[in-house]
Amino acid sequence: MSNKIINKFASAKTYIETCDKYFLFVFIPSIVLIIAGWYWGIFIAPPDAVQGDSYRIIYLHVPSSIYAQLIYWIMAAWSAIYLIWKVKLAAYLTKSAAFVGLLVTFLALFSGSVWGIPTWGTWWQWDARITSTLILFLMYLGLIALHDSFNNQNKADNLMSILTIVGCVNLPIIKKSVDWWSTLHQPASITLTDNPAIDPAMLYPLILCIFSFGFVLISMGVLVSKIIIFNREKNRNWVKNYG
Amino acid sequence: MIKYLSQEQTKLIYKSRAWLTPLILFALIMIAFPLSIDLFGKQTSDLFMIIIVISLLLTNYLAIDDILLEDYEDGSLEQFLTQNKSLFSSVLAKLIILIFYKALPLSLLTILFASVNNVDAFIFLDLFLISFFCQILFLNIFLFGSALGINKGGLLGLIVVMPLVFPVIIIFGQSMTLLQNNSSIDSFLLLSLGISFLITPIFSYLSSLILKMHLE
Repeated sequence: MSNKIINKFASAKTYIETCDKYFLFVFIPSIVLIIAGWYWGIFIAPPDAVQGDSYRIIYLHVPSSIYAQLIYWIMAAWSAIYLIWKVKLAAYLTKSAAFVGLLVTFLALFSGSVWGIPTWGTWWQWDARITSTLILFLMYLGLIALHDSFNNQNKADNLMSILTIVGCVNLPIIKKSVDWWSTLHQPASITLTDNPAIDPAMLYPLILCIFSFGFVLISMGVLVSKIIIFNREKNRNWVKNYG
Repeated sequence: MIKYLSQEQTKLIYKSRAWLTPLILFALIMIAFPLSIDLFGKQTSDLFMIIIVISLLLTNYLAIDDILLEDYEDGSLEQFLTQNKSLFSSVLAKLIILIFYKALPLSLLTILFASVNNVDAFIFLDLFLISFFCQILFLNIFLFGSALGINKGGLLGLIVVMPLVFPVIIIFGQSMTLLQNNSSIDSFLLLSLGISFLITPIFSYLSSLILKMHLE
């Protein structure tokens, strides 16, 4: 019974059908909410006492930084699922998440650089947080490069999964870099254990942006995963009969 | 295991050029840097601490480059699979031999060049140990990268494991900074020693797993 359930939900066909059924219900509200969050943050939230209006980049920078790391953890979980249970869908999702993670990490670096100019007077600094985020960007690039360099897709999936899991060692360093080193980058304003160090008028739109950005990324990930699945499973009958 | 160790040792001894090249490259960098810029007494010791991290990184990469490719191309690795021999033991033996024939001499050379660059003698032991342990970590990581990109050229392996090298560079660099300021690096020594013991069998196992995937 449990194998039947796993086989059903681990099937690429079931995944595609489920995504097709619910995609618009996730995508459209996420776009509406992210636009609402950005509007709230950019036009309604008050300016910062020290930084003025330049702080408003946080409504892009903070969500992208959070998801840059979170996506890697999710990839590591999928990689473990693939290596242990040989669920092909997990490998497809890992690859698609790598592309999304790469984009999001780039957004985090880019928005951070844009923020750095008025705040620090420089668009780049070899600061612990910034450098470690750059390392994360290189990790995503390395994973995609590794996967794409092999013609044998099963081998590529295996190697990428192993490297993804091994690469997890860098994530605590990235997360804790602002605490372990004396950095230019400020410590986290929102933590799970302490009260937020940010005013509610700025915090609420930020939470909305973080939440909705996640669903935007899920939608993006679904689209990328569909491309990967159709490419990998192109010889299957269900793909030929799709649509 | 002893059999694998002696096999790898014999292979390495016969390939004396492969063995000596990283040592000579290291010596070249250490000699070249004071010549390339105008330095005075104290400055050489400060710059030495900076240069040593990068030069050991480069020489260890060179030491590992193509280390597995030869065995992959001449069919030795395939023989391991067909004869049901332990690929893990072979890879681990290769790594251990590399540690003793490359990392250890490089650490000794580090002390030699430290002494000629006016580095304080009382930090020599710490310097030797941290350079030795960090080189073990570098060798493990580059071996892993070499296994990943075995038939795709060394560059792929380097690119994919470069992010894994950075934490080691951080540990090494921080240790050098503390030694420059005459502070204790016992915590970093214990950290790097512990991680070396932990990751040597793990990365050898992963590398053997990856090699099996390439061969199947």
